[in-house]
Amino acid sequence: MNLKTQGFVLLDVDVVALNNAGKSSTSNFENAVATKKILKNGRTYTYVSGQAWRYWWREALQKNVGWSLSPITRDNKIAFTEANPLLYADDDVFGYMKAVKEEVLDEKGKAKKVDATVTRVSPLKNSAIVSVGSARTVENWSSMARQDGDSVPYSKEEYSAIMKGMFSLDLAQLGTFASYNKTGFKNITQKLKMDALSQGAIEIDDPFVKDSKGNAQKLVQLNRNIRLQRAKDTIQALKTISGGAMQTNNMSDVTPKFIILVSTTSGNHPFSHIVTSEGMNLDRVALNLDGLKEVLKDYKEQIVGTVFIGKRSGFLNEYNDELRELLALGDAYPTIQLGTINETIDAYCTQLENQFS
Amino acid sequence: MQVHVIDLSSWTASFRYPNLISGVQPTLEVPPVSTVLGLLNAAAGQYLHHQKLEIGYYFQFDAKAVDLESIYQIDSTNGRATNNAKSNIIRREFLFNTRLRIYLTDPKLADYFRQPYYSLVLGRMNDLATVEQITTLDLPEVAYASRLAGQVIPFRENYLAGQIQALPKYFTDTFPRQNVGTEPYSVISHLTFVKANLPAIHDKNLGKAGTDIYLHQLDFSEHDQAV
Repeated sequence: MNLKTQGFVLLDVDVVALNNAGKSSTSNFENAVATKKILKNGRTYTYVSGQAWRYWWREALQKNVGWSLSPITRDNKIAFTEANPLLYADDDVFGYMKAVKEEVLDEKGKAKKVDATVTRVSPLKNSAIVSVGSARTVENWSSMARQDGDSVPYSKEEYSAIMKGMFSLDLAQLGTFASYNKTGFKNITQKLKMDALSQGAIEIDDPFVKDSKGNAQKLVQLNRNIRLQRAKDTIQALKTISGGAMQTNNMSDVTPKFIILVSTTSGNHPFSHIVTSEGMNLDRVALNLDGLKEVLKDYKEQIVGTVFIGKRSGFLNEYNDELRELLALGDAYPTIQLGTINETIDAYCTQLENQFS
Repeated sequence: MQVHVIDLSSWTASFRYPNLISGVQPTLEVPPVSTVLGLLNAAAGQYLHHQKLEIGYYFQFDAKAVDLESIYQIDSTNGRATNNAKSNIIRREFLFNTRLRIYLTDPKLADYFRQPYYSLVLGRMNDLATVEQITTLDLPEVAYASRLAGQVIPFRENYLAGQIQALPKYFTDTFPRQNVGTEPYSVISHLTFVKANLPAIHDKNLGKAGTDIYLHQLDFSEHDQAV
């Protein structure tokens, strides 16, 4: 089945500079670093680029979940990962590109080198993390003054905000590889394909791509337990994800304080509009629970199993009663389960065990 | 004229200039036709071999910002990538809070968006998009468009205002991919309205006084046979 994990998270951060944008052009200081922000209608929205969130995620998988990350070769002008998704789960989940030549025997039994460039589109897609409401940044004056002589002033831009992020993990794509050129997305070489098959991987039909004779092309798929474990690990890593710039002075917890996890049969990400901002300066965050109900009803047919919603106690407590009302929505809606953040992640992963084929 | 309308939104989007390889990466203010057709393919889960296709679209955004990101610039020889890659820090523009409205005359194509096969992205991996709604509308046709905005219009024969860019219509599913039907287009931002001697359909719900939408008449039959 074409299953996706669709996730939505809210972070709550105080006095941070999570992702910086280089030298500030608006500061009076020469040593001034700006944070990443978007200006919209005269208001500032801070953000962390999607690339940075992925970096935190990969690190969390290594440090807290025990993944052994694909080694990076970095010569003078060369940088690439192993591109071995059999051995390295992060190559599988995060994608790669590597240009290689592979030695094969031609029809006369003579060794020749053929192009075996591989690329993989990431099954894990994530948004940027953007402040829900406008966030007023402040320039924090600092100085390095422990040495003799003049102190060295510098500044950085900090903010407090509730931030939103979303992701989509393609469970059907996870651990499933094309060894032929599918519009330029050949995932594995012939050699890796043979290795995979000898290690218990199976071949399945590509539902869409056919060869010149009209037969379905074959995809190589790792065994269910490996794929399931990779999916669970990826989601579990959110419990302990950490990262962001300026952690020494501006350490902040970037684990979700609100999370929605759901399996869908569709690539559509339905939860992008369930938080809004209110107030004169659009700086107060509101959960749009009517919007959430609308999504749950509209996409009930595409939602498989339960919708898991988790919230950290103390965060947006004014919505506790309204969230509890979701439990009794009736037959027109999918079933909903509420819990703490970690309970919710665990419960979703348990559901995944039954859904994964 | 009856059209099937798909409304999509995303927090972020970026559409790179096809002719800029290094340095600051600005974003086009409207996606090229090939990007919208790529989105159709993502929804369908497969490469669609269009013969003739009628499609219009409108794109708007709330703000433009600049991101700082690491990139790997990969060399190629004869169209194939090599391992020669240089890491670099670049500034890349992106659009914030975007809406894309697609107009299709073929209901089958619109249906793909009811349950898209792959995740939909407006530009790059991080620009996850949501299908807001799919509707069927009966929109009036106008012989001379007076309010064109938020779209790209072929430059030849029309000579409209707007930024002029050579943009592809589609890509092949061969390896390596080839761009198809590249020609100059006027990229007309949603912020400015342009008059033209062009037939269009009028959508009164876009903007304060409505917007005229040009329907691209795409013909891939010649190319598709060659493949």
